[in-house]
Amino acid sequence: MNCPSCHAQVPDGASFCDQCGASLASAMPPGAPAVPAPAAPMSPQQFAPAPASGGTTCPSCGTPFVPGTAFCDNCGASLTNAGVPQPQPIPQPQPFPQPVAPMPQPFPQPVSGAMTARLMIGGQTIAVPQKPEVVIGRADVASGSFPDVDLTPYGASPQTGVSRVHAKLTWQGAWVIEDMNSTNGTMLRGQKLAPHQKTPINTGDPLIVGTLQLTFYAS
Amino acid sequence: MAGEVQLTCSTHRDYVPVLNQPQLAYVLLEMATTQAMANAQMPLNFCFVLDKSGSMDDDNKIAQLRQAVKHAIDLLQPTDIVSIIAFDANPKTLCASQTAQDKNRLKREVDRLNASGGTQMASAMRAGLKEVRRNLGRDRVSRLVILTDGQTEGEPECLREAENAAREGISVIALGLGSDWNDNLLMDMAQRAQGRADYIASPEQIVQHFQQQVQAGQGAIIQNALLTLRLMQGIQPRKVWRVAPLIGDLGVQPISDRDAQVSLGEMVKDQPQGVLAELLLPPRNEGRYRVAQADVSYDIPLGGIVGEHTRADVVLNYTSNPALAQAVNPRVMNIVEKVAAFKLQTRALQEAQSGDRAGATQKLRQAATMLLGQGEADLARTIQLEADRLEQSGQMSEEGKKTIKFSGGKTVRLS
Repeated sequence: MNCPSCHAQVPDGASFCDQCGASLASAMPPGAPAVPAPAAPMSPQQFAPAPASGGTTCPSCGTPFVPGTAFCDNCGASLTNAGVPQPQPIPQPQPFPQPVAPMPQPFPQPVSGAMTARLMIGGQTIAVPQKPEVVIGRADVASGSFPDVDLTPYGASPQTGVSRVHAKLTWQGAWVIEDMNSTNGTMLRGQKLAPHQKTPINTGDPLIVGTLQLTFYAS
Repeated sequence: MAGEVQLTCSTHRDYVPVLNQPQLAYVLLEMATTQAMANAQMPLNFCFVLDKSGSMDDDNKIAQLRQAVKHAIDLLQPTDIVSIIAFDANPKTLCASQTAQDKNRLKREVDRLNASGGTQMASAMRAGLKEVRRNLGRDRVSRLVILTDGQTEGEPECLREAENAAREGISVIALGLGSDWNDNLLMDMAQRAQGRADYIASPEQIVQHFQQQVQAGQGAIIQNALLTLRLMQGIQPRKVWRVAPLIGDLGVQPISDRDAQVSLGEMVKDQPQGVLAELLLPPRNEGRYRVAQADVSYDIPLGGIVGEHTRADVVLNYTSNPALAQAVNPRVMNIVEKVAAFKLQTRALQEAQSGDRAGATQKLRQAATMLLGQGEADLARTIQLEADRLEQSGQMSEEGKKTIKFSGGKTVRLS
């Protein structure tokens, strides 16, 4: 029998082509999406078009990298999803209703999958509430500040440079972060963020809030 | 008989995007001995080569060393073979090569260990090799366990002796105590003799290091492990790292255009080995592909087994669905991050050595941030401290440098 993908001869009963590696099983495993098996012979035209903006340089130091590389070889910045060409435009997420009242609206139904995130600090995990906008800061009863993620238990104080409303994570189909004009600033992947400028944040990115060192994970 | 070693493969993503250019994939290969090997233990042929120079008199070092050797003797089986060489400017055979049957007599000999004199390691290595040679055999783990606290005369001779050891299948464990010894020499010796170098920060830790060495020797039941990756057409292996028990570049030998080989050496029971391969994937259409077949061959001297194999497939899906292509395997990604932090530390130490203070400081800080996020608080703190020190004074401390060098590779724990 021949491999339907590269036409190399393969022994009967083989599960993968020994040449091109293509699966010879007709059915995809359970849980896999309904994508067609590689039936057509390879031709370069079938590949996704080149990314419009080159995008395969480290956002932190500009060193070029191969798509899929997790960390910059030069400066160590996280590259997960940074500038990796997407095979298709990302489907637009449903716009979230803006809260009208200052009180945070409880979400009508739990949002599954991609909107979940967590922060790690010194081996401890801080759960990020499942909301489209998450304020990170330091609770202060006197001034009525109650951020969604209160870093006080993890060492946040005026001495460690954490503002009451320090930074904000926003879900836009992917997570972005902005510094809320904090006193001591927010650093993402070693770069200081300009106030109120939304910047994509990727899983594994180092994040410094005041002087607290965190790592962001979208999971 | 097969089934002594279990091999599992996982990738950093189950789905990679269909792209018109090559992309990188990370593959984690984990190897562990199975329950079938739970009671196996290798007989030892150990020679302890111990620095008794004058400086060993400080900080209770010599007393701690005596205690550590006695504890190691307690851990030996009566059929294990042991010898002890003490050295200053000259080597002295405290115990000639013998079975560890009369432990009390061996320990009495250890009590004769007193500190005085200079440091001449090469002649002591030569004396140690002479003892180990008396009982060489494939069915024993033959090893020099060297402990020193100072700079030795005759470094090139030490390296030559390490090479002599390697030729006879004797590995060299080189342990440096305190901060005043040449880490490059000890690492080089260990590397040439398929052994390991390590840093013992304070004298009371000698006992624990000796215990680890005895147990690692007794547990070294798998020998000559060799990983072969048979790759799908068009794949380039970019780098292969050992990640556990110690991070290090394994170097990858292409043996044909489709096969790459990596020598893993010995495997210790209850100490899973991890290997992280960086593979450059070619463009492919959507679908499911076996990108590589991993094969580990190994010997088990205890059972007279030679060239046994275990295999596993590395399978990936190419997809046009961006949501699928975004999901990562956090366990693999954590290890990728630890390797990235290790690379930064290694480069920072080189840059600090060559006087690039700014580059080294920046890399140390980035490594510390990554390690802090991974919960490696102690190592992160040391690195942070050394970054500050380097920035302010242009110098790192000897202790800090050695901690980074020797602990930086110990961050991955597989279970």
